[in-house]
Amino acid sequence: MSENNKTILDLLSDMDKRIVWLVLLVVGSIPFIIYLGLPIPVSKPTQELYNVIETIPEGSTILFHTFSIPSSYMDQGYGLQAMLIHIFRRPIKFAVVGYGVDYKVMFERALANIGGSPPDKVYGVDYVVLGMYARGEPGLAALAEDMWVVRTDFYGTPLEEIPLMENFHHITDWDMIIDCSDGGTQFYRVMRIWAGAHNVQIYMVLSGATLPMVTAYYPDMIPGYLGGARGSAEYENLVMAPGRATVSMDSVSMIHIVILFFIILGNIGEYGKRIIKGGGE
Amino acid sequence: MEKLKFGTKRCVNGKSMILKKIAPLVMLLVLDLSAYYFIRRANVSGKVPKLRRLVAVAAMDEAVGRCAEMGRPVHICPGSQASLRTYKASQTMAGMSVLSYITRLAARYGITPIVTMATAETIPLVVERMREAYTQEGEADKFDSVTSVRYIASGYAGIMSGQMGIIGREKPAANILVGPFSWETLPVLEEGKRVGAINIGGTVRLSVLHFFAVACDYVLISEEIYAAGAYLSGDPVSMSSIAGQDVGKIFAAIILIVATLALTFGSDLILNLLKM
Amino acid sequence: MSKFLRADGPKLLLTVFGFLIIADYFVTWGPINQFTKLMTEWAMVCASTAGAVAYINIVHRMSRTVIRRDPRTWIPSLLGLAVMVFALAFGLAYTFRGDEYQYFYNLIKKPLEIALTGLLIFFIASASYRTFRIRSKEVAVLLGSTIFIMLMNAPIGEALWSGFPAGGEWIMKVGNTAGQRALLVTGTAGVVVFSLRLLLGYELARKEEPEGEIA
Repeated sequence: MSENNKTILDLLSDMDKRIVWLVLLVVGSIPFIIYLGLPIPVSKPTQELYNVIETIPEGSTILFHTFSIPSSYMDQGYGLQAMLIHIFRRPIKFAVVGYGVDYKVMFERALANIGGSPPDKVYGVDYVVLGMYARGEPGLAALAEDMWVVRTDFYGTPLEEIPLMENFHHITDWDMIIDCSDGGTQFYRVMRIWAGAHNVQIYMVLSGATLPMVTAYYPDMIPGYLGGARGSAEYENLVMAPGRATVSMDSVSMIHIVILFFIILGNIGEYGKRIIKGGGE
Repeated sequence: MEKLKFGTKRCVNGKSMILKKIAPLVMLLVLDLSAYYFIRRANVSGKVPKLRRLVAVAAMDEAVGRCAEMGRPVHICPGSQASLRTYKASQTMAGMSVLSYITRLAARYGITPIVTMATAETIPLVVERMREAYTQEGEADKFDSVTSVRYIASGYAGIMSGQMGIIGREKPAANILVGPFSWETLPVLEEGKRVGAINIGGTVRLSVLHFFAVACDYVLISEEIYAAGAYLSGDPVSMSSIAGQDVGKIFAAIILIVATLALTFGSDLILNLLKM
Repeated sequence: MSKFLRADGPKLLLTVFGFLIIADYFVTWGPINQFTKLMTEWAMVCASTAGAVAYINIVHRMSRTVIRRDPRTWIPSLLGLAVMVFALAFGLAYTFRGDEYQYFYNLIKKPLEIALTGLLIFFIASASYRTFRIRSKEVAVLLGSTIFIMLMNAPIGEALWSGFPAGGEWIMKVGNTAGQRALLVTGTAGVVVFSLRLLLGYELARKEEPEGEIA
């Protein structure tokens, strides 16, 4: 074969990126058409988070510190939805807080996706969306000292008129804190400024990128967490409300297999060329 | 009175002055006092610690030289998450030192540095640093901040698409990303690869370090960016700080080894001391 | 204006206030705790003001680009200016509380951001294909651990072999945790020492930058 013609091994080791992308797109889309239904075993951190919400005493109040980026919804939004289903089934309350203005949209989307709040849950009494705080560490620090620094809920109602907020000022007043930070920056801020400074344990709903970082804190400072889309799928199955996260797990499986397949192909091509070159010499 | 609620730990709120965290205080004092000692020593007696020239730092000269040979610009970004208000300030300043150095080389060789920014608050500092760099090379009149410093957008998606577009169109021969970054860096680095640029990058952010490791030709891992920034700036205070950091790290390593050994042999004394 | 007011006074304020706020982390004492609480509230005000200043800065820069008609950047700058003015007017007219903002968010911001985030997996796939070539023992170990971690996260891993989740978990608990903690310690040491330099005034504007070594 002439030098100008590429061999099969050249093609395997130097494949056009677009072929990789096309195969990924096609194979990753198949599970959304044909549901494979691979079982999703529940991991220990997810089980621990579930157990806490299941057994927390009646009347307890949870603080959700939620995410604001729409692209985080795949990883965290469906987990948040599953947790809302679980929380609404129990006689417990929660408040939602976040930075920027988009967290309210995210929360309302989660609420709408689960069919809204049950008729027996009253806004202001059983749950509230607090007003935003200025993004960054000063905001988190101020929030930890006194939650009332936001002054109103998101819709402008003064906190004095919201029964749920009566006894909740300091970060340690809450019975449980669940953080849904989007990205590593916010994760470290919360760990430093809430968990580290005020000695509170924080449960987490994480994005996939932040998952490796949580191992340094689990289980002492983070006793339980949902790890990315997989964690969200596990939680959906625990509350017996399988949804988008569960369906997407099959796609995740197929995409992982495709990536590994191409890595193997690339190595076959490269090693094949080396062997042939070594044999030729 | 300590009150344990379900799922949270409440710290003791006394009325008198109480030291809450002794172990972190000791660690902080070790770090700060050692850094202060080295900085004072540099200021008073002029003894500055010698820093090793990192491979990625040496590659920066090679990369800019390549830009000059090929007649292509150099793309620099001191952090898509650059900020002077948060803990990222230290990474941002390291990125700024790299920026100053590369700009001086670019001014000397007559190539265009393209700096892309995602945070508006750091733009005045970037412009000032670049102007200083050009002035030091005697080319102050050649500096054009409007062409060189480009604010893209403040969101992840915006900066990613903007940087990919600029790299795709302007085809720099070197792509230097040192500072605080986010997940959008991988596509940008891939685009740099596609146009044949040398990728040199580094960040402290653990959630994106693996992208740099995979896609960069030369990478600065975590605190190496501080060392690179100090080395390139030549500032005695920055270089002395690196020595102070090293003392702190050695102290932490000793504590870790001793505590691990103690725990292995059944004693949790050190562990309890660290929890104080 | 005297030198003290211009230079030494602000440095002194910075040092004293900074160390008092640090002391709050370690000490439970009313006056320091109250002072820190006040300072954190003011810090929020400063952070918001910084955002406003940044906005003005950007408008200024983009306007200069448009006026100069720089061939590469004046059209994007004009579009950027138009979007900024629109967003400001929209926010002032409707505020962020209303349904209009939600509509704007769902129609424009959300799909664009999700689409661009979705590109990431394709780049990860092509970068992995290009990079994971077993040229040394270290890369072989890296690839092996990658396989275990990937198949730990995907349900198909458990279906193929129960060793994948177990091995992946071990790598995360032992190898990854050790690496993360080491990088955390070293990265944080840099932040702490930089903060010290800031509080002692070494990072404030210096008149003469020393020359760096250039090959």
